[in-house]
Amino acid sequence: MSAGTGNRTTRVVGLAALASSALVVVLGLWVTPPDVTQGDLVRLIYVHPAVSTWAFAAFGITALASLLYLAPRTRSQRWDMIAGASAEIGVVFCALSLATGSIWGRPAWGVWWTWDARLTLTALLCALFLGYLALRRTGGAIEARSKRSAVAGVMFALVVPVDHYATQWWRTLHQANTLLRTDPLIHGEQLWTMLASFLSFGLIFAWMLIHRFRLEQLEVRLESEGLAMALEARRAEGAPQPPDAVAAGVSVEARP
Amino acid sequence: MGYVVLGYVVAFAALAAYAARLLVRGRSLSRTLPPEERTWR
Amino acid sequence: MWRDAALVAGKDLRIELRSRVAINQVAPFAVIVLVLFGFALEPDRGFLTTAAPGLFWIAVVFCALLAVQRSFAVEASDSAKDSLRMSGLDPAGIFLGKAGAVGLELVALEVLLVAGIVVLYGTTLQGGTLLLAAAVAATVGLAACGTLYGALSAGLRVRETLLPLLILPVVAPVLLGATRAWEVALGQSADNGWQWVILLTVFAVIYVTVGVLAFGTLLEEA
Repeated sequence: MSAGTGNRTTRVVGLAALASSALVVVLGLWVTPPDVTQGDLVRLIYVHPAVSTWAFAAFGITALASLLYLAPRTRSQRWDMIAGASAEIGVVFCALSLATGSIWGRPAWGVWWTWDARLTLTALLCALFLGYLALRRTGGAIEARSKRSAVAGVMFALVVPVDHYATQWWRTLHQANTLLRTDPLIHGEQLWTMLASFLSFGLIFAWMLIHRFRLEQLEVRLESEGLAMALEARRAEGAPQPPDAVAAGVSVEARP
Repeated sequence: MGYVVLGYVVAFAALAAYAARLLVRGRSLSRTLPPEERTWR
Repeated sequence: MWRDAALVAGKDLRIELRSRVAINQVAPFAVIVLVLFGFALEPDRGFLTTAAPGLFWIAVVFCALLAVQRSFAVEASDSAKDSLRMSGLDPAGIFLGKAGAVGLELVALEVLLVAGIVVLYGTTLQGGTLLLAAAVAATVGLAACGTLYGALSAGLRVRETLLPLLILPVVAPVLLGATRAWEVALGQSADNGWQWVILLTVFAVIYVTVGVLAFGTLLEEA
């Protein structure tokens, strides 16, 4: 039996993710025709929007899970763990979204970065996520940390709509040329492939979320175990112990 | 077209790397904890 | 709640007046930042004047960071935080008080900074109503938001580096909005300045509300 965070569910999801991704790659790079206006560059439409969407979805999950953790009726460590897991995957997807957006922009506009509304919003989101993850790693009592993170998660979520309008108004009012990601009327194979890409990246996201969530469970368990062992060792120190017993971390008389 | 391929490669390579990291870390952590802890079997 | 707020604000401001940290350290810091921008950028009067609103608000954001850090540093000494919690004061009041004190300090710093940009960047002040409205909305937002995140990270060992990482991305829309509104007010852009004031107000309302509602929870966990 393989030790790890996998089980039959993840294997099924994983295989589905791999299969659909392969399909998207084949469709995207070969089967679909190049675009009339963008040429071959349009093929990135089968990667970037999906990655971007799931990055935002991850953020939404973190926000929702944070809220559920804070609400007294639904309070459970699970929600905090889901929030954390989703946030980490969100950072990965966010970073990828920025990278692919950048790669798309380079041949299209000759620059690695345009202060396009959505790209800027994604960058902001990434920064927020990173702050959230840093907050989660501040150590200390698990429950206090979870509460802190949950409050932060909710507060970040509240600022995102404001960010959206801010970046939107900023760039649409000042820029003469049209925004990049107004997808041209896509139809036929392009549409189906794009939908497939949303599905495949969604499956990848789901697979990662499950694994990361379980990993989080293990890490929290390990942390509380470590804490318990440290407490035991401390208690053992209090009572007189034979030196080798203390070294072995075994407490003899000090058990309450 | 080069950029397109770059985009695909970057995307899938990064995801694969992260996935691998998840699996490896999961395996090493599970080893340190007793099997009863795993509620997903 | 309001009485408690006034109490806490008064306390914070009195501490400030006695220790003069804002006056002796943050204010000079603010002016130095403006000067450094001059060094870093093209000192050609035209360019700096154009950039003035943005540079002003960046300086304000940095000052806000310092003001918030200070606001919670005074609590950390002698475990004042615990006594604050157990004093029976309404947490919402504590929040409003601390945020209010930070806000007032920011206003003072902003006045100084305005003088700074007039002198150093050649800005001509105009568009008073819009200028003021945007400044008020932005300041309230910064103070409320800063106080919240300050409370979140208070007592953590990595507080000094964590707080900027948390706050700066969050106040990005304030920076955006305030700068754009001021550009309109100062006649540098023909935009809808009041639209930005609305954005700033929404931000401020959100954070004041969250603060009033959630500050109790934040104070709970030591």
